[in-house]
Amino acid sequence: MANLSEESKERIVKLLDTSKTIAHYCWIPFVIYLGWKNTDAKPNLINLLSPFPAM
Amino acid sequence: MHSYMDYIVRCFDTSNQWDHTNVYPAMVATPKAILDFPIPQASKVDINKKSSSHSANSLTLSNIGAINGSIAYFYSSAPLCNVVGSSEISLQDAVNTYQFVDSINNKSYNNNNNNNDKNKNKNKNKNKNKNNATLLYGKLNFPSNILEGLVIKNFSQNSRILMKCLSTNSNLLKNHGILTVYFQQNYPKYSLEYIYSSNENLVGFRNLYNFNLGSTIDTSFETINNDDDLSSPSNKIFYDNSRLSIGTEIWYGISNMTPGISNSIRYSTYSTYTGKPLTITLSCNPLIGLLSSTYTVKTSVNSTLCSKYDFNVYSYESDVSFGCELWNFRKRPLNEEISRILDTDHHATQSFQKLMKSKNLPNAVTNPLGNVDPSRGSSSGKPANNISNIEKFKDLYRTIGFSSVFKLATSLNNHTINMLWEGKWNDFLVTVGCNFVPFSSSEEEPGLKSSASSSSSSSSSSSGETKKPVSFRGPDITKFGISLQYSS
Repeated sequence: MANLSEESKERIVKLLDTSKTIAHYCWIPFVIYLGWKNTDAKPNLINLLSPFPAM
Repeated sequence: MHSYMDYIVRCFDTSNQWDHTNVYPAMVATPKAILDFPIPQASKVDINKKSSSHSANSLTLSNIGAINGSIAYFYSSAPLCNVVGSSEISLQDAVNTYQFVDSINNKSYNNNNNNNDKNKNKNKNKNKNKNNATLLYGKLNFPSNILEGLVIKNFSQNSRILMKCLSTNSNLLKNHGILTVYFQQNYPKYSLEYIYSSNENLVGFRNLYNFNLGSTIDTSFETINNDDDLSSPSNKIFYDNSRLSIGTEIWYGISNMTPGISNSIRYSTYSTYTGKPLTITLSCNPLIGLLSSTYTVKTSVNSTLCSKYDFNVYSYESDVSFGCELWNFRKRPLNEEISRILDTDHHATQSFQKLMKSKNLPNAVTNPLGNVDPSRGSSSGKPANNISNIEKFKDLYRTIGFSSVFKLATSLNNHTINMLWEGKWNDFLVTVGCNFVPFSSSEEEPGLKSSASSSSSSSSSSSGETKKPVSFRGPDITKFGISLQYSS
């Protein structure tokens, strides 16, 4: 880290912050996608997203 | 009541043959469930759904302070076959209650039985797939926008990695989040856990070792009585029904240089005659000088009693806590009869058996103790039909359809009583709880003393006898809450 310039350090911090924000907002869609992908009978999106029992 | 996340993780552990009783925090789980049960705050509604064989979701709404809630999604690579809705779930599985701890020999016996199955190869393949199972969980709280994440990745039946994450965009947490990683190894004889948390760079180590007391008794007995077939699995169950576990946890905060250590001993056993289990624990924290001992016994199939004694060796402070759990059956007459059999009368009379048989009840209910004669004693008694009283007690407990459970806990120092009712109402799982002070006293403030009594009080105060007027009020409820849970 000692050899890195200030600009590089800023870039790394910015990159980490951006990846953290992406992980924050994409984690739940990723979990939903895996659930949809690994189910043989692909459920529809509303059924997958809604916690209410299907009518 | 278990939260939906806890329930799914528990089901995931069960399907992957992960023994959740064989880890360090589980050593005091039984007394904690009976004495330190959480009281719901305000009102809360949970709506959960298993949307497919591999995924589930959950919506929570509560009014703690303001209206807030959360939405959660689950994914499991292994099918969530054993996850059922609130209408089908047995209350024993839904409620955090007495934890049955099996002895090591009992477990190995069960494993041996499984290995002797004809579908040995098929099971092995299935287990191999299950052993590498993954569970992912994400929960977004609103309006705070805090994300909770959980990843469980099994490497084998005995080892796995568990990651918990807390993330926020606000400045509520340092570095906008906390990541905690657990590497766990769980074997019948011992379990190890290595932990790292980004919060203050905390590192920790937990271990637990099991000592089977029954095996020594069994070996010595075999040498004395070679005539009896003591090596049979039924006899192993009969004798080896206890487990002694010793565990330690060590923590060190690298950033704040704060250490932490605690040790625990747990002894779990079952009565050979009645099959009723009991658990004794002793915990010690040498840094703060706290010694805590508990004794928990399941006195019958529908009641549990627990007591705890805390003592601080540095300050000499002590406290005694009591707690109990009472389960209610769906059918009252059956409840009374079964309790009567288990508690008082081991030799069910012929007339009573006829009465129960006339109601066409299953054998486990009509004759929970089978044909075992308790008077024969442990030295000569052989369980009928290769099923011990312990298994019969467990089976009876599992099969009975409980409708509700009432929990009560108090301690001498706190002067408060915690009460909790958990049960089924239609297809809902309901939890109602309160914390109250039964006899609250209020002392009048000095400024509010009446001027009429000032002359008389001044004479008494001058002599050093200052008596403040105390008025007793009725019960003072400090916490009350209701929680509804519906799963489909």
